[in-house]
Amino acid sequence: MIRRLVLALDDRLGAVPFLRHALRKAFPDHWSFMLGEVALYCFLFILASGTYLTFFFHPSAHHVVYDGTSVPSLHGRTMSDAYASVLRISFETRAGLLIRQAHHWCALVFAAAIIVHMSRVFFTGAFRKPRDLNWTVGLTLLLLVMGDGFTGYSLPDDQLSGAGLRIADSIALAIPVVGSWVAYLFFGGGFPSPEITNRLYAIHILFIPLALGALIALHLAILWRQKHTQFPGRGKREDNVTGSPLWPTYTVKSLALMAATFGGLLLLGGLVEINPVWLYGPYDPWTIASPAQPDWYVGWLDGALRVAPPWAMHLFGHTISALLWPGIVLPLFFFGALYAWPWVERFVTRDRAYHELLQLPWQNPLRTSFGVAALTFAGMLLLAGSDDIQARLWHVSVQQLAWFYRVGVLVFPPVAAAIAWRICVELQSRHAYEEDHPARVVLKRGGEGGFEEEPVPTP
Amino acid sequence: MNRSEKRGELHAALWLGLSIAGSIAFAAAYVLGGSTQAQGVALALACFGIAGALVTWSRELLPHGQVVDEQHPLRAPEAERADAVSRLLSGEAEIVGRRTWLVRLGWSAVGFLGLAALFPARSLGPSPQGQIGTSSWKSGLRLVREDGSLVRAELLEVGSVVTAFPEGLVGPDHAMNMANDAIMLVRVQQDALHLPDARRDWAPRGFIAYSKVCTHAGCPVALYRQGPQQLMCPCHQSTFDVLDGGSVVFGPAARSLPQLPLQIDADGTVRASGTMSGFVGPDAWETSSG
Amino acid sequence: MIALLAAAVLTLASETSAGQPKPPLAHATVPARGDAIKVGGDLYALHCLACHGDKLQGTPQAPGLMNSGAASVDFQLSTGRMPLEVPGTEPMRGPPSFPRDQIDAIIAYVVSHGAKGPDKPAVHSNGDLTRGRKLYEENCEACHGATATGAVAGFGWLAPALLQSTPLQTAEAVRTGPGIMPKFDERVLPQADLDALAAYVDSLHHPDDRGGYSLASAGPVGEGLVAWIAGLGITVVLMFAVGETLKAKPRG
Ligand code: FES
Repeated sequence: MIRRLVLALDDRLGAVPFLRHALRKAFPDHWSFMLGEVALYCFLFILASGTYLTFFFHPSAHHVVYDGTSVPSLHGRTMSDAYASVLRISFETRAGLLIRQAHHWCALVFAAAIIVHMSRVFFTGAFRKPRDLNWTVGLTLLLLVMGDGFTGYSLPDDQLSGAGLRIADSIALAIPVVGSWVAYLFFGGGFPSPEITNRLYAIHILFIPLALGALIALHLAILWRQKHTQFPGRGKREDNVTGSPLWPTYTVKSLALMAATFGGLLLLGGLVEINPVWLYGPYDPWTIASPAQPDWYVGWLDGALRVAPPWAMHLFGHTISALLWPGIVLPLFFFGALYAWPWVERFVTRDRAYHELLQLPWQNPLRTSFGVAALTFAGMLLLAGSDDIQARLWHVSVQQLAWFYRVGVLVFPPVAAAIAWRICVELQSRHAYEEDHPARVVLKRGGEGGFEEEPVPTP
Repeated sequence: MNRSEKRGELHAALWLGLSIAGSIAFAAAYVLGGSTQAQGVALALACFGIAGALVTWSRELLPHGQVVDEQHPLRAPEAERADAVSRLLSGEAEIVGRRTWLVRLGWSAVGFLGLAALFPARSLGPSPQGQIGTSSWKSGLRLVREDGSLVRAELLEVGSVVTAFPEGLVGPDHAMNMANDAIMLVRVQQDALHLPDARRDWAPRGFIAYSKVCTHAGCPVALYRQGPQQLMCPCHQSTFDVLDGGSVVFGPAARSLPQLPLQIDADGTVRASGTMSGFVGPDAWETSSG
Repeated sequence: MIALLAAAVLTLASETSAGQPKPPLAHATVPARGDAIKVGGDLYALHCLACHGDKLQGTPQAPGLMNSGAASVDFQLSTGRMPLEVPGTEPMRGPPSFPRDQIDAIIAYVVSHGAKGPDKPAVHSNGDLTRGRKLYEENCEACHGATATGAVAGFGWLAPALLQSTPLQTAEAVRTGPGIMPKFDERVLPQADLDALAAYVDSLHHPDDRGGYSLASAGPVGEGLVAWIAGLGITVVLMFAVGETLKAKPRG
């Protein structure tokens, strides 16, 4: 069977040379190289679960009166068809709630996996030439995932999604000169336009998934062409890659990871409640619940909105909204810096060579401190985005806590960077010392029957 | 077959058995209408079983040999690179030649096509002109609650609050109006107010109304702190002073809440006696004053 | 950061259960109805007078009680908010310090001394849930949260969780507006609305968590935490299982 298939394909496509090469392609099996695969499997899962949900979801702002019995406190309530269909998915479609929850969990894990994967790539210098190209593809994937997450969060037309959209609309309005046109064209009029659910749906299930699929294919094709990087070690050189062969060893490992990822998502989907929209209620634009937060991958933006200073400017009879800084300028700068980093590093270090061997974080203090600062910055913003929940826990004033984060967002990143720098330099000098003063020696039988000490050569 | 291999096979078989049991359990839970928890655990077991079996397989049954791939330089030899570039350039020269004006015209045509393609984008939404920051409030409109019932002066005592809308513009068909027209009507001790002179009679008998749409990012400013007389927005905690014309006490909002001037008829009907004192909702390019 | 948030969620989870038990104050016996005012007076003198004044007039520490009727006093005492251990702090729910009969005695005393505020409201158990939910969303959830688990109310104040609030206590709070909460009397919120609201709040004591463990209803914040710790955690463990770790560099 397999034999015939292979031969038939080779007859028609000349597939055998590729296959021979592909089957024994080396995949480094350091565990951290699998983080990207988790993200990949999240994509598969989210695509499959999402497709199932599209069969039942109605992307419509059309008003219906809820006559179901699953949520007694909503009986007789006027709501959008979109919200009502989510209630039906959750309560009347068998396994619907499981799939819906696993789908949402998958979005959260997906973004987290991408960020951890990117951190690995960043801190080990895997993005250096020739992989700077794939770094930009990966970063774009992260942005697309966040966009798909936010549009998905906005679809059920519950209280939280409505509040999130209102804020998104306000950020669009803050764009200088054309903001109101952008907002009106994107949302189909003033807020809340009945068009919006439908549009978000097209973006959520068509545009972004297509772009994701295409870019993931590109990401993998580039990876295939450029091959993997590897950590330095015995027998590992700039001009080779060592690892398990794709077939059979790595395939088995990777499938294990896929099955485990799916299992984990289903376990979360079954056991841990996520986005219980029936508790939040349908969106009425004049009501709001507290606390109101977005999903975590947008939380840093919400945090930025909370701690940003109220700097509106009035110029020549026009207004520059205070939302411009945290809502638009800051994300542009942050992601712009991440896009630019491979080239910035090349410019600063004047290192234009190819790099196939990875570095350990301490080997490059500049990069490591920049990365630590960026993560600290985003982390502080993310924390600031839940300051009201923290204030409630610790029973402090949320206003004071907001001030803490206002200062902390500016102070902690450079402090963390300085600490990281110090640690790197410390480790560097320790390694340098150990290399100068080898701790171990091998004894070699000398010519005249005696022994000679000889350091073990470092690879 | 050695012993460790046997053990490995046994382990993998157990995992696979677990997986099959999970799948059957899921099917049963589906058919019998079992809870989400039962379905999720069963299906997760089915997946974890396969994962476990494959892990066992890779650790105990597969050879651990490593392979080494050559990392060939990606770049082509210099001669080939130069050749590729020159082919590209010579092709371009053949296309362009001395016909630069034609090429320019060609690019313009493409540009015009691009512009033309932008026109349908206009259908995506109505013009925002004159819409930004507006509400339906006009002098004389009576205040009603969300269910359409009239707001009367005897409704509120000091320390109470209701959300109100202009009469005739409530209900599911007016969601967009309601989003921007909503006001917080509170009643405070009249002598506690310190409004600017121009607003002296905007709050008869201590009835004072502010837009419920946050000037920061548009969330409803629904949290009324009755003692300190503040309105707070649960989204980013912008806080506004009720007694002082809605000025910002704290938070990222850059602009006071717009106030709605009120009047109370002899029969206790509460009406707007003017329009909102400023732009309703978040700032935009157009919201230049207030 | 993750550890910090994890601690946060754990605290959040435990916080929704009951507060710390307070030692019961001395149990005076309340023999007959006629003596209630007198017993109430004794209790008042012992536990309330220092802050609220001997004529209910209030002191710099605490407001007077002349506008507090039975509803207010019953709410404050039956939810354990009063007597306050540290005057001037925000009263928090806890086990009541007095048994039912003593609370009634204090109410009788306060009311007999001319306090005129709302009487204990009536609540009927047949409130309309849909109506109650609508009212809750418009008037309550901006402070107490969509699932009534409480939230910040600004400048150090908390809007408490309502998960232990009895329908009567809910109604009393609505009618009297304790702390910085606004009040809603029967003109704003007629009896049927009050019943509806109390019924809905009561229904939130057992939220419909069909989706599974509710993460203390912390919303997307708790969910993000779980996604990082559990979701990614599971897969990282597996990656360790099938992958290799960095072998110690052989040294010279
Ligand atoms: S929307 Fe009100 S504070 Fe941001």
